[in-house]
Amino acid sequence: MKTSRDLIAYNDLKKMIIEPGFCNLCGACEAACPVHALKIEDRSLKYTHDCTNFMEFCPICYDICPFTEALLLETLGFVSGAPNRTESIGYYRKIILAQAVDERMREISHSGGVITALLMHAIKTGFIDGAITSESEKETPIRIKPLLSLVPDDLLSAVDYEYFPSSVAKAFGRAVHEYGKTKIAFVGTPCHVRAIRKLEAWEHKIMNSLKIVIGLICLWSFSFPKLTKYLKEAYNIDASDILRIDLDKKYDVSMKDGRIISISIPEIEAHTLSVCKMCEDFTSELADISVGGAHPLKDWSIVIIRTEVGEEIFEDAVKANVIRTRKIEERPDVYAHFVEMGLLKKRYAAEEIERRKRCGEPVPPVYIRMLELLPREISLLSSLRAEHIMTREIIAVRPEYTVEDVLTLMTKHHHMGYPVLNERDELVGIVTFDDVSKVPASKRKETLVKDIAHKRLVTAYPNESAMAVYEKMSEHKIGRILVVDRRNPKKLLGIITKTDIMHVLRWPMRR
Amino acid sequence: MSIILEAIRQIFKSPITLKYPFEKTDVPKDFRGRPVWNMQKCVGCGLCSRVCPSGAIEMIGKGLKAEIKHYVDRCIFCGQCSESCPRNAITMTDEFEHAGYDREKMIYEYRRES
Amino acid sequence: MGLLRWAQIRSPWIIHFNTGGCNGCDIEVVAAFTPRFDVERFGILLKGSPRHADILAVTGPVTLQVRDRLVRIYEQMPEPKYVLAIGACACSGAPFKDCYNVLGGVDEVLPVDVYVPGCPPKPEAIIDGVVKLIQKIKRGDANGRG
Repeated sequence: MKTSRDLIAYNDLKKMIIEPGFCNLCGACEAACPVHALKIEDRSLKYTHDCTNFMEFCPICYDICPFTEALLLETLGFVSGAPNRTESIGYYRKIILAQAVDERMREISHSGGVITALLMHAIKTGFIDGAITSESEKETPIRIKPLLSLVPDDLLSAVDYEYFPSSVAKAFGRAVHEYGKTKIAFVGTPCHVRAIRKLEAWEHKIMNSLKIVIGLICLWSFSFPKLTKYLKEAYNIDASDILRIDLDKKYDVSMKDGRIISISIPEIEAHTLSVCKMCEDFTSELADISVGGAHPLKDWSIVIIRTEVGEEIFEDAVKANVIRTRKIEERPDVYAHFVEMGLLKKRYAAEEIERRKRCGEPVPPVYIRMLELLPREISLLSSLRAEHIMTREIIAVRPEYTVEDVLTLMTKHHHMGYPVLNERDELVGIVTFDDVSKVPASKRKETLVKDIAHKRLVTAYPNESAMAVYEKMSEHKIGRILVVDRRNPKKLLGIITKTDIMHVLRWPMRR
Repeated sequence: MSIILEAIRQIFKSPITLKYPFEKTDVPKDFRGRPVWNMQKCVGCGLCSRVCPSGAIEMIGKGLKAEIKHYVDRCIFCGQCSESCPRNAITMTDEFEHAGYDREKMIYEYRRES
Repeated sequence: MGLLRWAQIRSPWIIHFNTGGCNGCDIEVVAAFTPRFDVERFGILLKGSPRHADILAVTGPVTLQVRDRLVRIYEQMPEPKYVLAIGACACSGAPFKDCYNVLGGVDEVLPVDVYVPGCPPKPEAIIDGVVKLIQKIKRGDANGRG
């Protein structure tokens, strides 16, 4: 990671992001540049004129690029006011299943149609005056381009997926400068959402026009040339003959002539965008609302509400009977599938980063930053002790519970790991989502917790420093650590998770 | 004739004179008075100084350590600096009473607290 | 001198001269004489001849062509006389400072007592400048002594 920055951000941006091929064409740099020196044209980023003619120092394009290390903890501030946080979902207020009441919208979007319904209602009531989403290109329906919707009917051409790069942040800049809209809704993938939040954290003046950010639940985006070449070679299909791509447990490619070709995830993973391979944000953890398909249900979407703005707009739509909801506790299988996909993405990301580090290939600064701590963060963690940051209200399971019970508990409380306490309330083990998902669905009613729980535990004591706790978690590659009494190691006092540590790092920077 | 009628009508109305400087009114909305810099937000890009038509803004230093000097006797209060600032660090206040005896005193300096 | 100064404080007479400006400040000077702001409350009259005036109100950046005329007008005023520079152009030349035909600011040519920045300054700001000039005359340290 660079320690010193060039006076002109574009030089750094070129070296760290554009030349290694980490640009996903979001266009945030184009929207933010005060002298309009950057332009996305022909699916590449062009430097139209030398910005040093106008400025001697400018940090903007490097700071707000979603793949650089700047402003990351500040962006968390937009969602960290939420009461709940877990590793699988991030910070959130509520997670539910929802669908649009109007059947037409569900048909168009091939899942719950929630974003379309929400935004159409918001434009109708004047909550927003424009929405940035994406729509299909005419000749090649799977390729997308940004869409600015100003009236509700414009949203009917919006698509629910973004499997290829779409310059939505550039469209946001255009909506502000050229259309003069002042209450804009932004819909994008996790990296687009991160770019917008970085712009907001930097306090750029175009952000006065942002009203709400809706994030999509995203596994990966593909590189159009790579994927179309592979599809031509392996399956002999042209990109323009493809109608749509759906992701359930496999990628289902629907052709215009009616055929459906299934491609497995490991097979297709080689053709994703290089930055997507290392991304571990599955649920758009920085958005106001995150929406994604609720597989295996065909007509419903999972909705994660993280902020008050998101709650306001969602409750308004529910009250106006545009959206109907259902508790996610009713469908633990949906929740299990959702969390599995998220863990899959995190696993692929960790592997790819390891591989690149070993081979000496470049890694985008943002992922390096997420793995390492700054000196001031180290000193903050060293000054705190485990007893200051642990959660004392613990949800625990008994050894006699079945795996099905544990899954129900996970769907209700959304934590990824639960300590196991015997009838004398002594700590005997820990059971995590990984253990639960390894049990096949048919055996979940019979297998008991004591069969799958880990008995050897990594623990910490209340007076250990938070830095030591963090190091233990990194060393053993675990997501949570149990805090036990030094005098009685079977007495459980609290739990510290990775998200707790991240929350602590934001303490000096409360918004 | 209508002038005489108007004059007679005005005898019975109160005078409309605003007895400045003893009486003052508010300025109109969006009035462009003297610009002030918010140094917490300023990143020192230098756009305001490049874009000022009369060269009334001087930037001393580069980047995040830059300081700003604003010459009110050269300023034409156009608001271009405020519009070009990418972070809205410059706001046009509603001060318009800048008359003075000495041009040297009509310089405002903006420094950063370290 | 006491009577003269008393007369100048209670009723200073102005002559206004535009040295090549855009007329924005001139409009504001004239607007200051309208009933809304009524600078005549201070006893100020707008005269047509420099020989009757105490204060020379100059607007516009001083162009090369008008320089000699400005100096002549100033010399025709009887002492004690004062100079009021109204507008950004008269104070420093503003955007026109580096033009080929402009000197830039009245104080390249004449000693100025009060500067009124603005583009154009509001009539209230001009009245504020006049009030400050009257205070300076009262104190007795105005430097407009040709």
